[in-house]
Amino acid sequence: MSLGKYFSIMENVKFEVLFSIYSSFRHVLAEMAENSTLQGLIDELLADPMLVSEIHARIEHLLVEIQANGDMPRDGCIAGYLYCLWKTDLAKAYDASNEVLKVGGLWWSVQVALKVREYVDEITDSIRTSSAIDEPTEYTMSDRIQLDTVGLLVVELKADAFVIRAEMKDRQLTLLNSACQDSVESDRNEASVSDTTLQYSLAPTRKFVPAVAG
Amino acid sequence: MPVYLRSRNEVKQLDYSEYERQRKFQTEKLVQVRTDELLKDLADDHKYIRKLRSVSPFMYNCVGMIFSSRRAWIELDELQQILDEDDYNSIRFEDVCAGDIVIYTKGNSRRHVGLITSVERQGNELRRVLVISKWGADGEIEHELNVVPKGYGEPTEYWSERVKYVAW
Repeated sequence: MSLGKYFSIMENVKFEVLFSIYSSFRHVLAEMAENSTLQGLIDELLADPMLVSEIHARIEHLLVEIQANGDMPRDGCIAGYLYCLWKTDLAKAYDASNEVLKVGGLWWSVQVALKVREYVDEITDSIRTSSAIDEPTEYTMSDRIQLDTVGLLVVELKADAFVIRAEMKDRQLTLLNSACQDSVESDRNEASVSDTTLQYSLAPTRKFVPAVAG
Repeated sequence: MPVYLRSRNEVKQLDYSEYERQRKFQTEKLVQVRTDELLKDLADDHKYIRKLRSVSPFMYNCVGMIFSSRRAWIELDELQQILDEDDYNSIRFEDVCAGDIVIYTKGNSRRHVGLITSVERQGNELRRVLVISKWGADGEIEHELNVVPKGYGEPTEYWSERVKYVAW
């Protein structure tokens, strides 16, 4: 389905009321996780990361629009777009969240934006404290790895929310956690962490996908 | 505006400044548009509401409608504390009467709460139960027990604070 079709579906009052009826943010998140339109858009963004910028631009467009006309049902779609960015490109989601919070005045969009920022802050804190992690963890997960605009690689492991930080410099990928320090050649399209049995392949889209989970 | 329970404990809610900050785009017209869409959606399933009571843009929700006189948005997570500390007891469906409350659940999750406003009986059987409830940020509606948006699930729990309530 084209992005235009997603815009058409999500910027409709029918989509808005899927979320406006709820009293608790966790119910909104549950609804988003089950929503087929959002899941379809997430899949599209994962397949073609270039589209992420278009979603970001769409949020910016809607924020301008809603400030000119507050009667338009835009909270649900902005919340939905933010949710999709959160699941596909954390750096873009963080930037868009700041823009949503700057405008303010929305309901669930603001909650999603706050959640994204909290999530990023947690990761940042985890990176700061990662040197304290000395127990080897058994990794049985598979999850996305996201590379943000400044070349910070964040690996989220569902099993225990352990985070690996790495730097990409001169085509050299260096993992920075003390528990798994290693250095690999990024042009080999793989990353490995010898003392944790983790290995990753570098996808052409700058995203890493797990190759082997030990 | 603090909301206190019979126990004198305060119910957790958003700061008022947070309400003001977040309701910038919550207009009466927008609430009307969304509520109309919900009613249209129900009508497509041949379900009709009894009365649209209000499309107030003030941010109160289903819990806030019942337990704070429409002054606050109180998350459903606070509901059990309210029931416990306001001396509510779980009752059977057969025993409900006006003034009791109904809780809607989806899966194991409480999604909505409404105030029962009318119960019609024929003999020992309940013929009709009417409920008034606030649908999130949308309208406040008087409806039949089962006429709610799909996201709320089904009416599964009934509670009352009545002492020595009449068992029908």
